[in-house]
Amino acid sequence: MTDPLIVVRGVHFAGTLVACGTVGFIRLVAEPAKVPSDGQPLRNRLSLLTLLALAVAILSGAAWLVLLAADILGAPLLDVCLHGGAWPVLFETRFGLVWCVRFGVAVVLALFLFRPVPKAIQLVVAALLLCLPAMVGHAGATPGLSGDIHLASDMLHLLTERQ
Amino acid sequence: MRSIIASIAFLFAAAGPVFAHAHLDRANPAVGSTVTPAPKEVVLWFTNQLEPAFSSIEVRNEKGASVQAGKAVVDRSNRTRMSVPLKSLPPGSYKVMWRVLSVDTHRTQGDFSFRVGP
Repeated sequence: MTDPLIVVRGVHFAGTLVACGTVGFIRLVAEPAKVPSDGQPLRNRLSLLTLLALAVAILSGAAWLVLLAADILGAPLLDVCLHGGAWPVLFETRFGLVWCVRFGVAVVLALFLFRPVPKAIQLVVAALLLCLPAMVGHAGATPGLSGDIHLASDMLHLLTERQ
Repeated sequence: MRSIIASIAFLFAAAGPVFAHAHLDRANPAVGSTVTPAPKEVVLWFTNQLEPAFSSIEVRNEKGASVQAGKAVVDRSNRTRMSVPLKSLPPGSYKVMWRVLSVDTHRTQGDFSFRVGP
């Protein structure tokens, strides 16, 4: 049977890639192409797609946290949900720190859809949401220069996936 | 442009194997060793960075009694290094049991023995 953690992570990365990729498309392709005045419906649809993808990313991110906490603590899923078992993982691990930062970044990225924001800022925020998981991947756990190079490679890989 | 391409190529070319779990790299006292005098602490080095809140070491004597003088601590400046202080150890055999969570959220555990000589 497939590990639910793998499924949830897959959904999370799909949501994140769609959200960040769509933001990149809007700012780097649609806008420079000077979509005509009747292009507003297209922009609205793309913004809605980004919003839905962010919602999927946030919900699957929450599920990822709970499943991971149950795995780390060796506790039943229900106990983790009912008795706050996810808090130690959230507040005492690098995964939790990255999770909190990315949650905030996802909310900011959603808010940016409703107000004019400089292109560079919106793209940097989207890139942050996409790159930060590398910090808690295999490369992020590898010590020394080798780990730093792997981390840079992972981040670059995630960024190029968006395009 | 060339330098950008060269930098990107370097990042990919320089990438070596990545180990997905924290494995024991080395230990002091060493695995299976006999030491004299008795060590004041057990120090373990791992292949990955560790999460301090979810990593621990337990040291027991031949009768199964704990001989630690405190809690295991992950070195903040080198998160691959974890140590635990020991009580005064008489000659005998001791078992070190470790359980760690690496930063990439994988759990591993293991054990080894060492002897304190007369």
